[in-house]
Amino acid sequence: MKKILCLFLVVVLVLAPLAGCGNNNETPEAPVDQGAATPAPAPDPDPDPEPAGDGGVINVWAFTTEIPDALQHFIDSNPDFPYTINVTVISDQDGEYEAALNTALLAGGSAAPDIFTAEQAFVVNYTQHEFSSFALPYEELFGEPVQPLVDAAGVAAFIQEAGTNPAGELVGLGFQSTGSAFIYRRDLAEQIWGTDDPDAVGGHIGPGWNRFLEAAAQAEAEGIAILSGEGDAWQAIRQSPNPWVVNDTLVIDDQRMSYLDIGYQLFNNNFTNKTNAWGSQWFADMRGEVEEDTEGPVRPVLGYLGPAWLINYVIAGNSGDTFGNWAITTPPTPFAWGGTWTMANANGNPDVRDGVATLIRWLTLDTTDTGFQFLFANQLLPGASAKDAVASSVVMERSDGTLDFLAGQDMFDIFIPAGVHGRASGWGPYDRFIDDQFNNFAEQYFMGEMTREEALDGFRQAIQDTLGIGS
Amino acid sequence: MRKRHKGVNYAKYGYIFSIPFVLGFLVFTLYPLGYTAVLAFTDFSGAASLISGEMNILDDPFENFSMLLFDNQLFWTSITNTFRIWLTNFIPQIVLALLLTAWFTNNRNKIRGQGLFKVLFYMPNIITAGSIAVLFGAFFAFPLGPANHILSLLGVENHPFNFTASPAASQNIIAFIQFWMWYGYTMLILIAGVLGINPELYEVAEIDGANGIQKFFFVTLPNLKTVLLFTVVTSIVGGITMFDIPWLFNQGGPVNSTTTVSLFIYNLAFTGRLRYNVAAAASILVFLMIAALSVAVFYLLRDKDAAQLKKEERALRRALKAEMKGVQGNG
Repeated sequence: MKKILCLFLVVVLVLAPLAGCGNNNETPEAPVDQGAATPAPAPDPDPDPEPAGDGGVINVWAFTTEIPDALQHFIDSNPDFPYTINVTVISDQDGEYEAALNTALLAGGSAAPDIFTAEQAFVVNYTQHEFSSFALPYEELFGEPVQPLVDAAGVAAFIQEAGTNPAGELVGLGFQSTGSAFIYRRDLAEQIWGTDDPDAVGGHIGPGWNRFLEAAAQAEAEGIAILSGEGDAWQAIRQSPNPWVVNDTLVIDDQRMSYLDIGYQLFNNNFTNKTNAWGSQWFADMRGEVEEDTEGPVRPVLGYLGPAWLINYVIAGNSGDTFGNWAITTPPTPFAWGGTWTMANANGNPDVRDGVATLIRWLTLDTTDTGFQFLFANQLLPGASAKDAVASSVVMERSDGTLDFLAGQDMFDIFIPAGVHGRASGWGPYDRFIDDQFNNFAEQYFMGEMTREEALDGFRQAIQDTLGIGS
Repeated sequence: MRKRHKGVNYAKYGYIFSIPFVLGFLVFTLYPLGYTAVLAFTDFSGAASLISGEMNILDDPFENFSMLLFDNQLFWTSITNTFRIWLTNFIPQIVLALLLTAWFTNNRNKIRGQGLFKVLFYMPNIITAGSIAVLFGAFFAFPLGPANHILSLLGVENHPFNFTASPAASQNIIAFIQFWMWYGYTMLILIAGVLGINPELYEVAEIDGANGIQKFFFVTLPNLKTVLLFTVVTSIVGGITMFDIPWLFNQGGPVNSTTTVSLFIYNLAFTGRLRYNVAAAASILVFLMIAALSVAVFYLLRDKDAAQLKKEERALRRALKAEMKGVQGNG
């Protein structure tokens, strides 16, 4: 009896770790998916799901559920589409998605992504830098010249620019336009300039940052902060047309260097509430809450710099009583913030390539009323909570962009030109880290903790020591 | 007649039972360790290496190490940061833990609700680092967090202070979080250590007229040495590899003032440039540092009497041998 018990225990203990391995093999994205079990909807564990279509399974990798949901919507509303999708969603927290996607692309095989998405912060890794060999040119994917289609759709320039590989081929496009605006409170603009008209306000706050600083002084005289934090201006200024890294050397170009002066003035002339983006006070400033009894710098805030998603998914929901009291106008300099690009894996399953082509085309270049962008721009998708700006200006022109939040202003009037003027020529693969470091050191300079030279030296040193990129 | 076994030999089961651990250790610990050690001497860096899979030993195998040691300020800054944060958390932590241990284990002051206090003190250790970082982030928010509110109520500060933008404040907050999270744990370990001390020693001390303080310094502390050693060494290892709180609280900022050495390694390996080889070299340097410190602590806190005894024993044995030899030689 004792011996049998012993034997049983031994077998259980020896097999226990192997059982874990067994499970892994059943999931299609074994090693990668396991490690990054973030807020993803459980990926379909079965590589051959119900026979909805016998065309095959398309593996889709994304960092939010946005694209997968859209593709599922397409499949549901097109019963003739013979393919099914197998979705892997990994949150982009701390570069986790990138690392997992890289591993999956390198591993290849039947579990390799067929369609994958990338965010602004790292899209050029997959379109212009090391991993660009994995992005299949659209021309090859669609089997026809792609530029006429792009031109017909009027895709925003920076979206094309970021999606073009070094050989000049288009390999990725976004569906959302993240060209940005200055989003301001009408009542406060009225108080400062006697008008809330977008064109008039746009003429006060720009073009250029000198005009913006003049406007900031005028607002300050009325006891109003033009921005919530000086970092909001950095979000726009950081997007210079020139890259940070040229020939493996760090270059601080004039536009980014100018932030040291602009930010310094915003900070030290009391032009902002000195908040950090995504901090609690930054959100509170959207509601226009003013603490009367604090001697701190908390005052009403005129506006924010950002794209349509900032309006619809961030400010509108946090605006409280100020809802409906906002408008948008052209920012001091054009910039884009965020966005999702969609690529086809060159090493993906060739049997499903037709399906991949159909889906990507529907997402990025279909301008009809059943195309994704029209549905997205007009809030026609199931579960959609807001209208949004899209890549295709043709679609936006046909769509109704009026928002209650903007007191009936048509947001597309501003976002169509914002897409035209945005540039992606300055985007590089290490931007996220370099931008953060620069902003960090600049803040110390603004606070008077460092001199301008110390801040610049510290910044250069940090980049040299961490990324190995010298100045 | 057949010889009967005196008993069943269970030794083989020991080996069999340890197989799962050994397998896990080989695959998940030893292999990555070895791989890291090799990486440190190679040119394996960046997405290009990932794609091609090529890995070559450098012409100067120690290039990554010498670069870090002699040509990388941030590496040294991160080490200084790590030690500053560790010391400002560990010294108050061990002092408070010892004080609480002395109170809880003293027979004379019968503290009511001891269990409750122990649970309360241990509580911060149960909460996940993520929640704690969020909690403290909100507490020290700028410009209108509770901390700033308290300061203005007390009239200490009229203008809100931006804690997360100040290097010194950020370091101290992180040190405080570590202190607050771990003093309860240290206290429990020390209490367990004290309870393991022979009560007769205390009785003897009491009969000899020792007061509470004397008992603590001359009975408790010397007998707690091994437990203290454990506490110090685990704290060194935990402190030098500290990652979660600095990362979650302020991503190593402002201006890298809370970039601990683990965070620096993370940035090297995973922030854009994927410098796996340099990160591996830094990891090895940190490993050597921890090993050296642990050895030093072991040496400082060694049982001096036992060592002395051993030394004398060895000397005696040597003398005996020499004498024997002498006898033989003469003979």
